[in-house]
Amino acid sequence: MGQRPIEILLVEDSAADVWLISEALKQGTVAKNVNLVSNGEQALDFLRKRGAYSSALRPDLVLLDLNLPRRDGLEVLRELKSDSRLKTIPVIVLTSSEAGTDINAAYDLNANCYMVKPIDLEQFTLAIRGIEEFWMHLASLPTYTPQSNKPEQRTDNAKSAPSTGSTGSKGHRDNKPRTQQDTRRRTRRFAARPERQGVAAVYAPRHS
Amino acid sequence: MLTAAPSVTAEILLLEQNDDEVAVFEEATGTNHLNVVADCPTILRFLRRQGDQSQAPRPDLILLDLDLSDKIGCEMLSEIKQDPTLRRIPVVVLAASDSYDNIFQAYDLQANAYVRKPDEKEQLITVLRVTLHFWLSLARLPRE
Repeated sequence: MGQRPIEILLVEDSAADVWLISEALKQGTVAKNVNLVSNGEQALDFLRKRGAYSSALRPDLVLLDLNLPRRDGLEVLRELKSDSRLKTIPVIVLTSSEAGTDINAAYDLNANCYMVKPIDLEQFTLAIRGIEEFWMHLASLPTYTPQSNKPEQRTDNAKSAPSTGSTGSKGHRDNKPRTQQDTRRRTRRFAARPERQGVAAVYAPRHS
Repeated sequence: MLTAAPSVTAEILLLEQNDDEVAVFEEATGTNHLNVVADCPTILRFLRRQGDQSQAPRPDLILLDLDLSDKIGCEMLSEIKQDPTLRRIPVVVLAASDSYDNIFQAYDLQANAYVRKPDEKEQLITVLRVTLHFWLSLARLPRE
């Protein structure tokens, strides 16, 4: 299991969908931080650490809506996947569009996967749980490999996360020996860890 | 219809050379149709429907073993993702390695996902079933 919260960038302009996605993510067992931006321009600023996002964290996973104000999701995808520094970040398109042209266009632009937001509330929750199960538990991400990660107590998170209700990350607290390579990687990755953005919401994971 | 519902039978293309592992994949595949190819030239003929593969179905999902000899897995991934007619087909890479370099390289070559292959058979079946459930029942897949 992972040792630090997984950093998610949620690019979503609908407040109702933000709420639904956040609630469904909170039910999962993986510790995560959801960073929210509500338009395409902000998403690119966040990913490129520009302007107000100069101290943003590189996300482990992006959840990208397509129908966005100020540069739509496909434009964000095109920019992200043609940027050699960003293209390895997995992008899950999560949209209400069922159009075959959107599905094909997203995969042609190297979206990692495409999901349609179910209208039914229960199905919506199941879809988000499916994302967690596959992308956060099973798949190895370029910066987050669930099977090999060793415990890592992040001080910034420890301060901001509530002290109760964090039993969901119990599996992350085991004390396996840390390999030298892991330590090196963490050091590099966390060397210049900035303060958390105002847009970030810290979720304390719970047991489902 | 390529968009996946649980009852839809999907065409899966598996690049794998190890017969024991193929048997495990077959067990995990359930009602979906598994097309197994063991070498590069055949997989490209399969995907392009050329020669002896002219009747090949368009795969909904490609499962690619990255641990094949001579880096065939990476070569194939690169070929598929650089071909504008093929690159939209999702490729899930499976590999025993959990090294940062291998994972990074796979995503850099635009693998859709990287899944670590456990050594133990029952665990591998579970991993494959979760993977197939996600890709065939929850994700929407592209059409030709």
